[in-house]
Amino acid sequence: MNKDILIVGGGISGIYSAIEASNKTSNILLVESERELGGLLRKLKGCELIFDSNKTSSTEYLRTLVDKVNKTGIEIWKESYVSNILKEDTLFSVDIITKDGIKNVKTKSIIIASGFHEKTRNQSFIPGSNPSGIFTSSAILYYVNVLGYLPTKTCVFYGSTDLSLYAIESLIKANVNVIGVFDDRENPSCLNKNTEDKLNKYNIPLYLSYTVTDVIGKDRVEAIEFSKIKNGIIDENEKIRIDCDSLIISQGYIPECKLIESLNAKMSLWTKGPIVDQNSMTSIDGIFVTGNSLMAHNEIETQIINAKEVGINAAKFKQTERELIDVDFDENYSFVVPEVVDLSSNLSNINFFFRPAKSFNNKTVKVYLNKQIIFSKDYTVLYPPKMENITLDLKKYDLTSDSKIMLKIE
Amino acid sequence: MSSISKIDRIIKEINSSFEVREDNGLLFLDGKTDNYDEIVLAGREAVTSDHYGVINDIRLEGEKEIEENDEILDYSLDNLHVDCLVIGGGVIGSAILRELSKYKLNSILIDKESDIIEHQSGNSNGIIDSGLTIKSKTLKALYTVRGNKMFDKLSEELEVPFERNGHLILLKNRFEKIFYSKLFVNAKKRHIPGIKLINRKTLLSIESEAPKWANYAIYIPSGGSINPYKFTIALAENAVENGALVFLNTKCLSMDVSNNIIKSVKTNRGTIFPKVVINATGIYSDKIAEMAKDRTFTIHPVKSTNLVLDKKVSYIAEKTSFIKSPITVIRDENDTKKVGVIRGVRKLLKQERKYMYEELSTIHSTSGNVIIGPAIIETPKREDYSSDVSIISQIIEEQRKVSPKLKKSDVISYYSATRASTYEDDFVIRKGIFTENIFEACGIDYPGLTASPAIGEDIASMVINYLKEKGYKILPNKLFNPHHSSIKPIKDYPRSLRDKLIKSNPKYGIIVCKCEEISLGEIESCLSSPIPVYTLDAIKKRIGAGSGKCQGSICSPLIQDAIARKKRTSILNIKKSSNESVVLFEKIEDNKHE
Repeated sequence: MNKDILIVGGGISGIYSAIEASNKTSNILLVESERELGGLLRKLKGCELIFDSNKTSSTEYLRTLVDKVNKTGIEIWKESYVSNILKEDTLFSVDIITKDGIKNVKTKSIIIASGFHEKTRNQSFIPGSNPSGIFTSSAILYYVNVLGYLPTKTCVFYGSTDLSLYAIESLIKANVNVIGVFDDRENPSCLNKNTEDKLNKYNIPLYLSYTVTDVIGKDRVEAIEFSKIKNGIIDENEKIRIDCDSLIISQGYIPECKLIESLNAKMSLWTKGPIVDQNSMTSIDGIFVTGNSLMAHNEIETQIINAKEVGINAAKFKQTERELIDVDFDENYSFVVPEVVDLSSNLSNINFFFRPAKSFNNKTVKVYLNKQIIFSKDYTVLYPPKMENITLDLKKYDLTSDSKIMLKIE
Repeated sequence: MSSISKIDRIIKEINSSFEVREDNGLLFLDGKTDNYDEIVLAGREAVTSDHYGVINDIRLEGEKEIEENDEILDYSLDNLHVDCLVIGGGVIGSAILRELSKYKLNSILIDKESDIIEHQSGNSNGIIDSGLTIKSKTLKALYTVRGNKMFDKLSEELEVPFERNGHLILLKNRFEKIFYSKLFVNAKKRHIPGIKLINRKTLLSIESEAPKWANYAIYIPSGGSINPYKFTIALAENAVENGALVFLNTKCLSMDVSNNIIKSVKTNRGTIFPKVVINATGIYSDKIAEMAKDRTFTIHPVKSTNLVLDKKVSYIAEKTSFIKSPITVIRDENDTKKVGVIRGVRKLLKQERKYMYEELSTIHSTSGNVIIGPAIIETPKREDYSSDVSIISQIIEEQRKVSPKLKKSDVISYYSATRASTYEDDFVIRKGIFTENIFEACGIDYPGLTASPAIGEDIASMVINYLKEKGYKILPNKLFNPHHSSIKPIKDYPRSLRDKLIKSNPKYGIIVCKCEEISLGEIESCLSSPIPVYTLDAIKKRIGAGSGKCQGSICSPLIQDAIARKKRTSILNIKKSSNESVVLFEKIEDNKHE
């Protein structure tokens, strides 16, 4: 089977890329590993999504989205798993595990939108015993919203990402006692609008600068001990013991990059996803990445912008020699995407996505080209959970392989 | 001065409340302290060659013993008469059970946990030791060397992933070659084949990521690595296939011993009447020996911690496992050259007491993940599975000397478990001394995994001899089949075979565990095995589902769902491991779900 584009993952990003790309070609295959499309949205069933202007029911939102992608007429395989990608001359040879056997698909380009997984208990280095009752927010969302079962009656959260707030919303609706949210950071890890809508509304206390110092319980969690962090050190005198049956971990996203890593693509130290150019193309020609497998998104808006672009770029893809230059940024950023720019490709209206490394008030984001400011934008507030994007027209400038692009917050 | 008064003087120096007395060929220690180190130290100092062993009854003040759960579960085993009762389903108990199943005997194994291989064996790092560096004239050395040689055949019979790619001891300085001479003598005496001193060039051809300072290495080709879960489970399942029985959630509560014979064993599921009892209870083996009135030793738990790394950094130990020599000194701020050399030489000459990082290795495992560990530390708790984050950081810090590319962010999992060490620092493999129908396979710490097949053979032959002496006619099990088909990951099958398999059963085409690419079909076949265990942890141990990068956070709900369907029960009944380790509490009503 020959395809123009293979899309791995049928969540928001995969679907938007598919819809957008289908304007150019209908020879697209979308592969989803779960029984239904939706990815994270499916787990948010019954939650309220907050866009800048209004609130939307996620169930409704997903239904509309699935209808749209179904109307494009592209091929969609559910419960199918992309096992292996091989590069063969100008095409990729992809093995897909399905209920009907292993299917081989040849495709010109691939969009990876395989999402993320949350940092686990082990990756967050949480000490103590290992009983039942330690979950990630996404596991909670799956149990509650997809399966319809309650894994907790009284719980405490560690980490205040936006995902944790959706989990809280779902648990509260099921009459679960959420004792509080603890975070080892000094500031909440979620968007302000979500804090207000979901934490404050339900009167869930938020404890900042606390870390888990013990998990108590042999078979099931009985209590969690949190300790205050002062100046980066655990204060032995300020401990809180919370009696509960569950610890729900929301320590952030790790892009799911198994496939792209198996192809030895260059990976970013900052996003933990692959390094991409302005077309979201990885170091492997013809493979694009979008959504949470590219970088941790908290908001659907930025995710959609990127996913649509990637759909168009993948549809346009032609093998050419790329001429890459690096995009540098100062320590005030936790990441900037893209990290490289391809001079041989389209340089007008490039979207740069970034997160600040800490909170800032009344600062300016500046872009330098060879020490000259070519862009600046003032922000009254910048804070880490909020991803921002700026659009740069680099076509105006005479860029060469020696050009240096640098982003600063000043 | 008699040895006993000398011991008395030494332990009184440790703590004036400590006392020693001699009885029945045993040394008893008594007293109390609030410092656990003193108890361990006194126990070590009391070891002599004139006694069976040390019974260290010094109490640790303020330490609560774990509350024993002696609740009766049911009476399903009440009045059961068997030939052999093996207590403990770790690798030792499983190896013994398999050997016993070679005879026409009515053999059963009981374990108090919800699955076999729960404690020490379940937290092994899979190293198959060559036996080269173990102290001379010990059972440990004897059984390890013998056990090592049995793995080629066993792994083939049981279809368990095993690699004999050798181990390396990295050396920095020329003078460390004396270490090699000492080991070379050991190797000759113990018939350990092929050990070689190699230069850096050869070293790099074996492990390209060897640290810069490693100028030489001792290469031990007989060292290897096995999947410890699959090995133990295959041993036990093969025993079951050959007629033995395994009962889980079955705890030994007491024994009725009279005239030096165990008459019956009381469990939480009724009283069992065995002809012989085999004690393979690891960390609890002194307690079980005590019940059998045959205790000659004391278990002092040693907690070991291992880290599992992401497969993407497998290249740091591509083929072998390696360790730095005890006299290799890598200068850093805290580690002066002098201390290192003295410590190393002392260890070399006297097999000095252990320190935390003595065994720390970079381990190539058969699953492809590199394991870093173990760090070892004495603990008063028999079941201490808690993880101390500072130890994890220290392990990484320390092992960066050997594997400089090690990063904390590459750690996907870590686990701690306690080892059953004795003060004599040796295995106890014997027939009962004070009770005639108990067989002890106790005090087995590292490298018990390697030693297990040899221990299994010997304990089984001791049992057979005893039963024969007692006038029983013991016949070989002519139907014994040594072959066991273990569940192999289908993703490793040739493409066409995998495709065929999916076409015969579409469930092999539904991937449930995305990190490890494990299908619904594999999970189901794992539940049709000779010892099916319907828990999340059991599935993880048997086929690795949920052991990958996401540690089951994505697939656990799907695996639970699959188990529930297969067992035809509600998903609410599917637990993490034990019966009390509930995952889901209730169904959410008034809500339409998929």
